[in-house]
Amino acid sequence: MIFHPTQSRLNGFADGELSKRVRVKTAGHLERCTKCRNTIGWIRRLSREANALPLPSPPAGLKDRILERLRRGERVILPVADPPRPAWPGRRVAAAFSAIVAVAIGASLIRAPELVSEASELRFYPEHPQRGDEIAIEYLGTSMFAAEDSLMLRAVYRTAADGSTWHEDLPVLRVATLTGQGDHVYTATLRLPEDVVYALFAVEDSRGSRVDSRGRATWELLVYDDDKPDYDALMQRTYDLQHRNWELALETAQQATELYSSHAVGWFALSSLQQLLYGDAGLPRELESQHRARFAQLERVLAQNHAVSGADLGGMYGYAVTLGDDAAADRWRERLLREAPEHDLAVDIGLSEVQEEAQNDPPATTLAKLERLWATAQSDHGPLSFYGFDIAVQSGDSDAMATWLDRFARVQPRDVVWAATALASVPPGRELAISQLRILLGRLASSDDSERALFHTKEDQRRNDRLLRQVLAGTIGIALFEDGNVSAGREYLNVALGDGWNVELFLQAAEIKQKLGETASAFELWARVVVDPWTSKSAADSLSAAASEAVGPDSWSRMLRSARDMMARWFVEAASDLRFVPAHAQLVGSDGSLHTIGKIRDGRISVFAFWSRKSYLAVRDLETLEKVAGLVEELGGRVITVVDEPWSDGLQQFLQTRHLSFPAYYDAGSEAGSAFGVWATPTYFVADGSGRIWFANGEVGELPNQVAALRHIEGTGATVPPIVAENDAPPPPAPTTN
Amino acid sequence: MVTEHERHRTLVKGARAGQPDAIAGLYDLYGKTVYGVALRLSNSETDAEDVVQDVFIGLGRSLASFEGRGSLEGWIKRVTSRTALMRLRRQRARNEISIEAGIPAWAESAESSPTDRLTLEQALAGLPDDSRAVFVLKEIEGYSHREIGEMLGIQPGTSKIRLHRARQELQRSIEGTV
Repeated sequence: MIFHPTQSRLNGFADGELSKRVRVKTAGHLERCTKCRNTIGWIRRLSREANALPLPSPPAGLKDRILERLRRGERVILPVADPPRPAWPGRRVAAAFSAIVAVAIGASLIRAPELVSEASELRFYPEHPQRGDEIAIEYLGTSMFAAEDSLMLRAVYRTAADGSTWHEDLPVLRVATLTGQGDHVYTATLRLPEDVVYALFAVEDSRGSRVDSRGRATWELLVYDDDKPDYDALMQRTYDLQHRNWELALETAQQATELYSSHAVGWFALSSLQQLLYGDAGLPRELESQHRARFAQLERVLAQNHAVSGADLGGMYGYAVTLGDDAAADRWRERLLREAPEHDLAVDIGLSEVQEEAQNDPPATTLAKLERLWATAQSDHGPLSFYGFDIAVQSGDSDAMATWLDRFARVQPRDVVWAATALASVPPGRELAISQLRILLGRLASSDDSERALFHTKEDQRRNDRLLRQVLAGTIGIALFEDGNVSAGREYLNVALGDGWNVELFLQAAEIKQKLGETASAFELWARVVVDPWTSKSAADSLSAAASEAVGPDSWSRMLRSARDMMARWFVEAASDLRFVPAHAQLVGSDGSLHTIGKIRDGRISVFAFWSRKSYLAVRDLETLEKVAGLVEELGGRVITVVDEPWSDGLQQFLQTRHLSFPAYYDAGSEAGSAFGVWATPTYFVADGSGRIWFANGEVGELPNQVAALRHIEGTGATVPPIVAENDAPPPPAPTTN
Repeated sequence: MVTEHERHRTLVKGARAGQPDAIAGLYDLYGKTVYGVALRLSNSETDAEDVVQDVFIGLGRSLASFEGRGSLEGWIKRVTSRTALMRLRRQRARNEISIEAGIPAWAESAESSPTDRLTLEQALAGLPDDSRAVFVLKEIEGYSHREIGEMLGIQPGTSKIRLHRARQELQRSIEGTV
């Protein structure tokens, strides 16, 4: 039997793009095979004939029409530069890092993610502004905004003072109105605030009902320092991307250290990201020795300098710690505490000491020490406010709880719900917690648009608010029950249970309902727990057996059906992506065989999980993804994971050592990633049996619920009720009942 | 005697200053080339004409970024390709583009018409936008996969795949008509 080269290899041969070894091998085959010789001949003939096609003549009068428009003073801005690629802009950086990584894991890992959207563009003039510049903005829109005369430009601005603040903790601002110029082109101008170094933008209609965020990649602007990106801009980009596109964050840190090699903070950031990536295995030897050499070089320069900034002192201390150089860490620690005690890392050091001593100190003593530390820190310190709140709760001192809750709420406003919930679980804090939770609940009614993420529509935000309302009302309800205020507690709890899907709340509420003798309600809640795919089979079976005996098999079946309806409705309401999967895109199996996505799906509900070994965030999800694969299989669906590197011993070993057995495929040529619009990893999609994508960009923990919801829809032919609008949702109970 | 090089320099200088005569001179030199690239990429006479108008109206301002390192013709063709591709993307986003399977009018009005060429042009016009763009840029305009990747915002590997698909499609189409 003759094995012919693949079509792709024959194309490569005809185009002269094969390596010498493969070319010689293919040429050997061609000598013997007429069929393949004919294919090559055809490709080359096609190329010659296409090249020889004559140029058509432009229509008569075209030149006059151009000159007429010129005379009228018309202006056109031409795309003289290629469209920006959001990922992996620095080839040199990529190559350098690639070489380092390849040593450690024996594979060529570096690949740029595809552009997400070719449909719209947001351009900035000047493309590389200096601080405080006025920027002309041009948006080339899509049919999404066909009927809009003007659009809103929203942005997240980052300044050097934002440090490593999480992207979601920064306000989203409406920074300009884009005015339509016809032909889907919109323009605006804005002046960057003087301290802004990095900005992210998205475009939306005036109602916030449709958002173009470039597939969540958003458009970004870095402030330049003459001809290169500003150092603070690069650091802010690194911090911002840590939570959105980990691969790019790492690359940006690399770029910052290349352009600004004397800044210790950049090296600290880079080594920290690399530490996270390599985890327990530690940095590869070559990479570590490069860092050690760099550290020694920085130390030689900075040790002689008597005016080192607090940032660099902190950077050197942090860099020494990540490299495991205890002696150097001690040297820089001492200098940091002496010369910049207010620096975040100096406060971190003080906090560690207090935490260590807290094992022997009574809470009141620890609180006093924390109070002194709080006074030293010049800026609000997240970990300190968190620990202070924790100790205050332990102390039972309600004044201390109020003080530290207030500090915590100021420093980490997004986490205040968690803090109030924690407070509600201890009797001395309950009153304060209920009061705080009610304030938060009241604030939801007048939701602040600056808290809506750049890529969320107002409808997305309403759904998030509904989830938050469920947590707030549920926590208040449970706290009121614990305090003996049954009627008010029931009112809040009933509001919480009518909306959203929160199994933990269902369990707690079921126990309360049972204590109150409301058996039917309790079983309805247990039915929700049973149908949730994350509930173990044994727990579900045992609950079902008890419930079936208590309420009768028919009633129990009805409750289960109703619970499934509710779960399906909740998740399907969030369906946001109604494209079809690219059935013809090909993926490479671990044995090197090619499969189309359509064939792999085989008409089943499918989860597509895009991951990369280069992304800490993706690697962190893999263990959960393995569990998800099992649950989805039980539901009759399948998980298809797509990795961004070719199959190698290193990759196989990576999967084996982590006991990952889910189906994995290599996306050669990024065809699948490009078709799905994957910008970063991990990214998840869920498609129904027909291949229609319902869910995109969700969380790994939601995947089994999404699959269960689709299965329920397909199995019952149920139609999904329309989304409940904010105005139709049940209002929170009046905060007067107590 | 004014050399070709000096004439170019004069035209570029004049165009940068916004002189209509200089733009007209550049049109005489490159109008046909620009129209050819625009037509093959956009697959529509109307769109190609719009692209040509945009290119020559915007040329004066854009020439500021022409550093004279390569040929002016190469630079103009690249700008034309980008302009046509941008237009194509926007149209695709508006779902306004329609691929006509029949022989396009421009193919029929071409100067000479051997059957092979007509068949090839017809097949080319019938390709999906993505594949046609890669085929035209690679086989007719001579760009590398890396350059095409940069222009289209795709990976070089994806460009190769699209070229391969275009060839397969052209073969099916041409052999089906023979």
